[in-house]
Amino acid sequence: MSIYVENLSFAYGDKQILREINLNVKNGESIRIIGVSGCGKSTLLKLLAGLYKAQDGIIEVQGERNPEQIRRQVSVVMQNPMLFPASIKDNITCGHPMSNETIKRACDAAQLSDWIASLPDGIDTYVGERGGKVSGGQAQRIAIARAIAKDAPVVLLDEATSALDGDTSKAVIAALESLTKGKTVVSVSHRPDDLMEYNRIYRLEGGRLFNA
Amino acid sequence: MHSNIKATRDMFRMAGRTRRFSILTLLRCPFDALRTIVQANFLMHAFDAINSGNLNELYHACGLFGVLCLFLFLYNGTVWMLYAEYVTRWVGAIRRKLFEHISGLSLQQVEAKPTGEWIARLNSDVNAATALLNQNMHLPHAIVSFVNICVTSVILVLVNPELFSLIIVFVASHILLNQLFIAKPLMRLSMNVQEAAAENAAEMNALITCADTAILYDVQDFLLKRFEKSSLELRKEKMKIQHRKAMESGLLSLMGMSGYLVILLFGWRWIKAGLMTFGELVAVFQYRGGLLAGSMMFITSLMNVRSAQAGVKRINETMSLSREE
Repeated sequence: MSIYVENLSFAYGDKQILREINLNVKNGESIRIIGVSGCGKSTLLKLLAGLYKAQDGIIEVQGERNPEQIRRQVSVVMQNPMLFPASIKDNITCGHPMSNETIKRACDAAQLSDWIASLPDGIDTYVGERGGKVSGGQAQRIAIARAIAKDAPVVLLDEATSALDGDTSKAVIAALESLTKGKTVVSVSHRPDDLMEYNRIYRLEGGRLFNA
Repeated sequence: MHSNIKATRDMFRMAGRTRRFSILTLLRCPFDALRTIVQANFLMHAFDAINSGNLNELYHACGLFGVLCLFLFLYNGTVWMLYAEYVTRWVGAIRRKLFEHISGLSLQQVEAKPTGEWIARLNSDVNAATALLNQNMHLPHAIVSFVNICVTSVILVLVNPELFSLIIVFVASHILLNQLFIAKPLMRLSMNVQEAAAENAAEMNALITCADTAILYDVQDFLLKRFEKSSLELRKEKMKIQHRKAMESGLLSLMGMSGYLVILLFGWRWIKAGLMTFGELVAVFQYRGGLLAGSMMFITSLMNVRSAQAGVKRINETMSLSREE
């Protein structure tokens, strides 16, 4: 089992967000969780990513229960990714030693190579933290390249396809397909879409998870 | 120089209340010159009274000196109190107008610069620019000291033109050296400090805004190293300013002491020749002190005004960004 969640509950102070969530995702499976804004989708994703600690219940990702270990097993791509005020290369490698071959592969898979080749400073081009120097689609593809380079077995997508427009959607979808190929995927969104295929779809409502 | 004046004028216009600033500065102008005259005359009369053994004249000089000092103290205190109130409102007006302007910019304009840059524009740029009026030596000090220099120069010329020539040689060369090697580079260094501060703020901000990504991708060490690097860069730029200030201190001692010794030598000769009394020499030293203090105040104020220009220019640049209608 890639992701195993049992009786997971979570609250911000007195406000209960998630109630007794149970979820099983096998290796290589893709699932989608939909729900209205504020229903707890992002909180669930943060718990699965090991960014938050479960208050009640069990979260196991790739056999790991310790949040620090869980974080090594997952990559996360968000709708509005934050980039570090650094070069494209540093944003992909995150300062870790990485071969040029790995970086190139990540850029190719994330549909970034042509754009990077057109830049005067290439992969060493500086980008602002909110992608001020690059478009939203480019910033998202840099975030996808970062996730590809990490090569984690579990991929978590937070509204990753929600704000795509005609021009950038193809490139981002292609990049996401490269990222999620052969991986366990959990994607959360406020609306269903048919941009990507999933094995199962759930609905999060009132803090509980239902089959959609 | 012209661009600095224009930049300062633009910022004053933006903040408003320039008439009140002019009135308060004019009211402040006579103080230093008056104090120099009062002190020099007191010392001259006191020492002449001691020399001639006239106790009544000494009492008279001391009494008058006390009354005039009290008057100067009350006058100066009142003007500075009004001035402090003005500066507080002036700084508040600049900060408010800058904030209003930035909040009216388009998202595209805001996102074109890192968060740290905007934080720097709202904080350190305002602090740097408003130093024009609220640091130890600032723009009004430059004006006041200029008046002091003019008045004491005229008095010195009337008292002893030869000694005035000697004093002015040292003062003029001091100002020239200071402008060439300290004041001019300071402007550039201050601009570098503001830019380094903005970069440093951006790196620091990334530790917070990118916290989730940093934790997930184990980037904290990398971000900390970048923050450390930009902090060192900022410190290096600040150190360069301190080096220039140390140079200024050395120059002050060198020029001040050598001028003092030369006048002492000439004064001794003139007293021996019966051309001058000891009281007059003491008064000349007092006027020289006034002239030097005025010059130092003028130089320091100019240096601070130049440093503040880095903030003034960046504020004007921010205010010149066209807003979304």
